[in-house]
Amino acid sequence: MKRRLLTQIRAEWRSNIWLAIELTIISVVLFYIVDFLWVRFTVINEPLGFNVDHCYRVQFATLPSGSPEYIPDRTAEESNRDILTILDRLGARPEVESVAMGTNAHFYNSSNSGELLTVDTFNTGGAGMFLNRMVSPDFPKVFRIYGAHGESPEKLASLLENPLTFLISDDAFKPVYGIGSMREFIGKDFSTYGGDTIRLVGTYSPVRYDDYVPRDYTRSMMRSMPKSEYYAFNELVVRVHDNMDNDFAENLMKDADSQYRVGNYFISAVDSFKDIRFVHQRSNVMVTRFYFTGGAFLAMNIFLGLLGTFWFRTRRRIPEIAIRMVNGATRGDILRRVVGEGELILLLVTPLAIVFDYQIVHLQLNQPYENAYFDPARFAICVLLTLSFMALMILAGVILPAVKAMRLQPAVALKSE
Amino acid sequence: MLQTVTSSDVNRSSAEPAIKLEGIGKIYRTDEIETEALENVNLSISKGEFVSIMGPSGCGKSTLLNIMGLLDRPSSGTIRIDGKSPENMSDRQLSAFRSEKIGFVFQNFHLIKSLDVGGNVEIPILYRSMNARQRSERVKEVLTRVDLLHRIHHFPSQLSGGQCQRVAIARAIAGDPEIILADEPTGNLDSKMGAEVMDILRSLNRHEGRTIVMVTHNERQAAQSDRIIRFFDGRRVM
Amino acid sequence: MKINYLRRAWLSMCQQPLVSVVSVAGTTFAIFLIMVVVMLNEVGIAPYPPESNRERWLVQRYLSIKYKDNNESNGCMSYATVKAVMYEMTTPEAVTAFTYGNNRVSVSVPGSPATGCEMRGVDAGFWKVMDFTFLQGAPFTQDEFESGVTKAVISESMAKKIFHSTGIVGRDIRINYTPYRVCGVVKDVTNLAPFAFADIWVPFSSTNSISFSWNDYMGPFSAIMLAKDKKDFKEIREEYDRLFAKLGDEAAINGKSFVSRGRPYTQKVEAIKAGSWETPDVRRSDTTLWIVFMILLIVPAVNLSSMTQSRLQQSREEIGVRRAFGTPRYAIAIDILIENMLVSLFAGAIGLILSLLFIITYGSWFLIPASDESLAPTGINIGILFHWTTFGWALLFCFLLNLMSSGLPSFQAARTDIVKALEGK
Repeated sequence: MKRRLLTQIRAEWRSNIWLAIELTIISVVLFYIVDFLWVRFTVINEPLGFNVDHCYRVQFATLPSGSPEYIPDRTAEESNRDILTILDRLGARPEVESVAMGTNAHFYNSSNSGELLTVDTFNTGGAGMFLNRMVSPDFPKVFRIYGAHGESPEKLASLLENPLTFLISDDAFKPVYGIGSMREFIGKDFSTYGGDTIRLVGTYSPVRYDDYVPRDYTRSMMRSMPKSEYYAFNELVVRVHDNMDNDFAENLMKDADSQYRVGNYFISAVDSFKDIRFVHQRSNVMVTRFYFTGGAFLAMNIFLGLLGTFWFRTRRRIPEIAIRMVNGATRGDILRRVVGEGELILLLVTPLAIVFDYQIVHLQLNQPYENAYFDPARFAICVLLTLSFMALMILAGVILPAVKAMRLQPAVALKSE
Repeated sequence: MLQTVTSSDVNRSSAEPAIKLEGIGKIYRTDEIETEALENVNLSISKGEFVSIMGPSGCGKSTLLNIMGLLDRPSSGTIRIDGKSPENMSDRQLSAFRSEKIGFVFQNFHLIKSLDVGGNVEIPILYRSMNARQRSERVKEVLTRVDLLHRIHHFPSQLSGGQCQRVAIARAIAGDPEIILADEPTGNLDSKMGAEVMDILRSLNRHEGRTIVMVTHNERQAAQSDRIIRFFDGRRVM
Repeated sequence: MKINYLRRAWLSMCQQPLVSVVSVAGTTFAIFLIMVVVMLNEVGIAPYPPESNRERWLVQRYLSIKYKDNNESNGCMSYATVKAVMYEMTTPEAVTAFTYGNNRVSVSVPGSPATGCEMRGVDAGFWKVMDFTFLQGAPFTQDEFESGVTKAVISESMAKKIFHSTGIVGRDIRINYTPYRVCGVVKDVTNLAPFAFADIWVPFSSTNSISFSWNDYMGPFSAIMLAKDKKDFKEIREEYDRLFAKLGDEAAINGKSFVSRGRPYTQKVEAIKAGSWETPDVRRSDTTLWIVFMILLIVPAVNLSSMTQSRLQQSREEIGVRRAFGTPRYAIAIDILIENMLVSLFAGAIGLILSLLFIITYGSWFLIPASDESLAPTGINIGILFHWTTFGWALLFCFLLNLMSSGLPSFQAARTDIVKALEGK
């Protein structure tokens, strides 16, 4: 049947050429979209390494000098004490589980700091990002970051109590040196880019930058920040007890004036990490939505195009179908033949489409990060997904005319012949 | 195979013939097969003559008519319409020439269903240098001629077969062509309507001097023409 | 003849209802999606209140400085820079400097808890360059700005939130614990407007921003120069270059130089939203947009083309008759194009209406507010979208789509063999 079908397809090559061109173009564009969404999907589903549920960022501001409440000539030590007071009061709040300070530290952050650490002949450069998070000890507790070997956030917090110490993500030396774990470096002194010497006191499971940056791309460190360096412009993050997270932000703002106006500082905003995450990733979400819409558009086009083309085609073939029926073809045979024709044309254009797909992949348009390599598994999956999707749309477009053809009464059809 | 000669077999050959065919041949080719529809046809039709072409099915009558009407090109031979050869004409020139010189009447009427009677009749004069008012007047004139002015805004689906063919005739003469080619004009009509159509054709020939070439199966209708030309297997036999 | 085409197009569609519906749906959908893309793009470029003068202004959002060791700094401008360049200009109709980027402040009235909102520091020229609708009161004046008066203009919804009323001109509020007096209430501004959006506008001379700067030239300000007419752009740029050159000489003494990056920008270029460290690649941005349009056009065009082709098969007999009676080929082709154009326009109109409805309902799903960190809901008002360019675009794309989908089929149909057409082959 296939050979005769092929003969028939060849015989009608003029009208089939249009269909073939359309299917090739759509297949290639659809592949690009599928590939993009696949990369997104796999990256989004990688483990984050942290948890932002029930977490909040409390923003402080300094009174302007024009304010009647402004205290002039406040020294750095006094300002620091003001912040420590605020921290203590926050920590004492019944809903609050833990509080931490940081610089370019919290997740879903538009600001970040890099660092280059060196030990022996190794350094943290050479691949992707290496982030430096300056944090107070309780930072791992706020974001529930675990040690690389199962250490609890509390344990990590205790390790950061001492000054000039740091924790590092366990994959820090993996991409460049292939060293799977940083355990052997615990206790060693590292040099920073700025010339400081800091000691590694522990390792943690890799944490990602956000939902859209892959795990492999972001290595990081958490460096202990001495209390004397806590200032209002640092980030203040809070974790609230799971079962007490009701209107935390509003309640805190209500108490802002009475409890948290210390020195020249006041609370200017309280944001949940749910909102921070949303705002930070908004453009990525938009782009994903665009691609999704584009994919749906293409699918709709395949469907409409095939519906129209096969409608005519089936009408023209009514005499042929009638003769087949008279000569023993079942209705199922007719249906299969009509559907089979559409799918066969798809199969015929697939090799050409794959060639174009391969070119697209080599343009590296969809790579989640730089220096990625060609991944045959991902390519194969995306080609298969594209093919399946198109086959489905072809079926949807062809089924109506096919069913109509199936329902023909041979005698009526032959009369038109 | 008789050659039928009418009483009005006047030698009209002194003026340039309306249609002159010399050595006309037509071969249809497909991938593997060649069919010779016409072979070495020589024919001259004088201006004002009413000629019938007869022959069995498949003998090439319609092919001949299509070539005369410049709808198809011969594989060999030459054709001259009113002394002019269409050989080196561009599509635009050919279209204009055709619209000016030749009108067609088909067996299946070939009226355009989405146009009303007026719109159908107007087709041959649409691309002339006439303004809308002039065209409208001409349309009304020819519809009056075929006694269908009262149906000018009707659509083909609202007319009988005979009326459709009369509209087709009106369309054929709207451009005032010298030659009318009719391919089995009464083939789809009953005898009464067929007679009406023949009356109009005869009138166009006798009173307006138009040259008419008609393909027909009907001996009685053919007898109403000035001359009958018979064909068999692509060749003129009489 | 025009009525003829309409009737013929309608009758032709009625003859094959399913295919006509599919053709119309295909065109509608294509125009719908293209127009969504156009409108999302236009939001950044088309003028709407209060940024009604976008077509006449030149924007300098950032400044770039290069040091002797080839390192660069990129960011907004300090007050000193603005004063030395923008405020010295005489060619523009008006000039304004304002703080760029979020400034979340705490706003309160005695007796109620503080509310967070977004504040923008502006000068008196801001109200001339922008087109705010004052529901009450008036903006602060140049004199008031120069004296650093603590007056505030507040948005309608913020007024309702804080005071539960809009009749608040003359009342006191505290912004970051500093007392201000409300001098005007304005209609809300969508947070898609990058330079105008805020909940509260105060003279920046009343805040610390005026003295906030680093490396002398950088600070929190951006500026806009409003021309009397677009023709003045050249002259404005010349004056700008002269003044910046002068500042550049001064900076050179300390080993610094300014990197122009083609600034200031027209709104079209500004809408590309290049980072402060890069020069906007207009060509790339336009090319990307057109690639998207082409894909959105080509895919349905190929679709519709094959359907048009099939539909035209049904009209072969008619084409044969018309050709037999002297209609030239070009006339046949044009007739088909016009008929299809009418269908395209009809379908395109539906597509345009659908896209407008979609954008109004779901537009915020696809739009990023100008101030990235803003949590305020994105508002799109119809005024943004009903711009004559929107309709122009829709018409252009209808025409292009029609040409691409009917062009070849109509050309082929016009070349129909007359005899075969009449015989129904």
